Amino acid sequence: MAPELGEFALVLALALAALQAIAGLAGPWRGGEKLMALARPAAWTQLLAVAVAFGCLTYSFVTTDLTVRYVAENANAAMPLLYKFTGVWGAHAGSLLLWILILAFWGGAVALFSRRLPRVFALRVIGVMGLVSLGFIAFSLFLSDPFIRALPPPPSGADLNPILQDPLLALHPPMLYMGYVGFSVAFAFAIAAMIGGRMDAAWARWTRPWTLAAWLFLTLGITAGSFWSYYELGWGGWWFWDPVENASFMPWLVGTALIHSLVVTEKRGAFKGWTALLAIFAFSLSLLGTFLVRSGVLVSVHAFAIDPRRGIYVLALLAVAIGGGLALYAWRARRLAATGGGFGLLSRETMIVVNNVLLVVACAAVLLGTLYPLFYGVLTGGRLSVGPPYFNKVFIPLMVAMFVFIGLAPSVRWRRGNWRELGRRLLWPFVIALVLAIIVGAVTWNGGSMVLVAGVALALWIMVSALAELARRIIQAPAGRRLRLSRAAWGMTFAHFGAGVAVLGIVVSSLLSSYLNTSLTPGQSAEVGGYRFVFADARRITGPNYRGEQGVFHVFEDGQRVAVLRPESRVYLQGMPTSESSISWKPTHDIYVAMGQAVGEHAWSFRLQVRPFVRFIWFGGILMAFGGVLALADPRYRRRKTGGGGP
Amino acid sequence: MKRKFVWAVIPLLVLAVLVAVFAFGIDRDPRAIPSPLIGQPVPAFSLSTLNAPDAIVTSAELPHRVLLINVFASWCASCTVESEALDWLAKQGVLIYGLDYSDRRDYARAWLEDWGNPYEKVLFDPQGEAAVAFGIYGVPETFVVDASGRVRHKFTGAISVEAAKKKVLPLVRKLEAES
Repeated sequence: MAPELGEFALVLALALAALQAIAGLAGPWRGGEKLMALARPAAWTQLLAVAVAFGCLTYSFVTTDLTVRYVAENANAAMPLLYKFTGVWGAHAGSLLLWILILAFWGGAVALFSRRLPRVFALRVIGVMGLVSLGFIAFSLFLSDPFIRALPPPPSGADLNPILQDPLLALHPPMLYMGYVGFSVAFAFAIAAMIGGRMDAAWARWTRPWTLAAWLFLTLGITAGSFWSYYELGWGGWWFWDPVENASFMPWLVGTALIHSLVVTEKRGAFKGWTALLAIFAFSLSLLGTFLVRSGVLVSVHAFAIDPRRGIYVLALLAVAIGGGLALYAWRARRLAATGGGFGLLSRETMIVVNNVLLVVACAAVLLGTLYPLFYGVLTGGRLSVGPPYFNKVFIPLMVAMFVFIGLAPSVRWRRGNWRELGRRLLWPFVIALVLAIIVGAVTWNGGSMVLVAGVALALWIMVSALAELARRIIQAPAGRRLRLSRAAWGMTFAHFGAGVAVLGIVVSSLLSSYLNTSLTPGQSAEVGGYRFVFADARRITGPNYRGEQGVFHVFEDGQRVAVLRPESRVYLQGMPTSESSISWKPTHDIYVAMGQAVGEHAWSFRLQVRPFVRFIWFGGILMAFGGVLALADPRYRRRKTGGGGP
Repeated sequence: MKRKFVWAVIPLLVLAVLVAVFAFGIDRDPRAIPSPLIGQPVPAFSLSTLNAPDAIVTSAELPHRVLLINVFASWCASCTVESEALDWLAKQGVLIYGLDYSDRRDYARAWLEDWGNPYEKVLFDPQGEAAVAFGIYGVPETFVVDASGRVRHKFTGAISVEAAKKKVLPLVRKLEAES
């Protein structure tokens, strides 16, 4: 019964999304009062209908209803309860439904929080959201229906891909989708403004909180994904430049640029056309990511089952949505001519231009690297893959420039900066960062290098200058209001400081990690990074839906036992082997053992690692997201007078 | 004003190019990665057969004629889909060897009883030794071996009856004509 109910709810949602689009877009145009009044209720009931559909699919998973084909393909009765919930979005059809749910959620939120906006503008935003929903619900219903029954049911279900059976992965896709899909709001705001032909500082102020919210979810999602791949995939890497990782990273880069250019548009009325374009791009790249993941045009560990019809549908959706947005932009660009005042070469505006150029070029470089194999294949019929060497070579110099400017920008005044004042403000942060970096270089001289000193200096420069700028603003604020500095300023400090923390983690862990791949039998030991890893024992283990072996390692430092690690090598019911690494979290570094396949009667392959500062990478990501939360909490988005639209 | 308009159209043109490339790229199967084994002799293996744990078959003992080596397992759901195509091929006189990968004998025997046994012989590879030598990364996979014992083609994923008729059988006939 549940699948039929879900199907019905989804059909209903399709109709409601159509109504939402018509009421929101055609309503203001034809001037139908009754029609316009329907837009908001349509958005809310659409959310309700989609939630019911999603709930029905979840119910089918939790009860392991094997007559539902999608459930039978991705779940079995032995699976732990948590993964029956997360299994819902473990494969294509269900993750698409999650996408639709989140889209409906954002649509509902916009309908709720846009009542203080000019009426016609708000209706158009809701209408555009409805149009996007319509496209995706139709995709689900006609090409990847999760509710189809398969009769007779198979005797037992398959299994969720075992590497996806992880608590953190319960969080990763929903976070990522909140971010991806959240950019649809910025997109809808840009489209609505261009339809109306008016785009001003108020528009930027309405768009900012939505963009920030999407950005902070995306930041958390990427951070969670990176952390997951670090401990789950078993070789201690935290970023692979995999096409699907890139697909989430590109909207993040453009979204970060958008957050900054919105500030200029809000404060100075400048960059309007560019900001609108970035808003279109951020969502376009989210759609592109969806296309890449679902069409199977690229090889990726994440890619879903290949079905060319789905690929063509998403491609058409992408062409219509982005093409429509860009055509509207081309048509209206003249009206978006800059009205903001001019600015000098040294000014906050220039700094944000630099930020935007670097981020967009970095995004273009990632896009090129991701799509190059496809271009190459289409043009020559050959095959190649673009790996980390390309990305590192192109991306790192751009980011180094970026990080130098992160330290500078907040201290530069709007409109016209003053070189001397800038020098005075930043001399001490610069000196402190450099001295600390040299100390670090001296302490780690054995494994260190000039690259390490430079990298650490860069990271410290970002952190120290962020703190210095905060301190300066607090000191210069009128007495008594010092701690009531705007939340946006606190948010920026956290975000920039977090970027510095992440850079520190990346630099130190990349340059000072040590690892060893070896095969050991019980009783043998190996030396890595100043620790002695003793392989004490191996025992058989049986889990609810897997069996395997667990190795026991005792880790010694100077004869003292400092950790006991229990890595596992599992084989899941469906036959897929996975490695569960075991990590000891020391204050400054991780001791990490991953257990591979058996290589002999009583021998297994192991990867032993000592990774200093690696957790700073994700801690930095969390700090950045927290900065986003603070900025979002800025009361000016809620003030009635300014027509706030924040959630 | 005119120049501004030209700039505004550029993003649209870039999109058009991208969409065109995607549209051409969509039919390409990214997983059809050519196996490095193509043109090489069948990797050396030495395995027992499913029905006789004591009888060892080695790669040198493969008959000197065109044959398929089909990698399957009782836990593999797509293999049940493929069984119809393999049965059809066997009926056309195509010689098929099975490579039972990462499996248990009792499960595999029961599975063959349920789904039919198109295989001349079933090699039993519980530890995946031969599978590693063959470079298996998904089950099912099917290797086409010519009369001189060289791998000539690899099919990844379940073969449909249609593919068996249109692709596999013609290829086998062509290789048979060569020898």
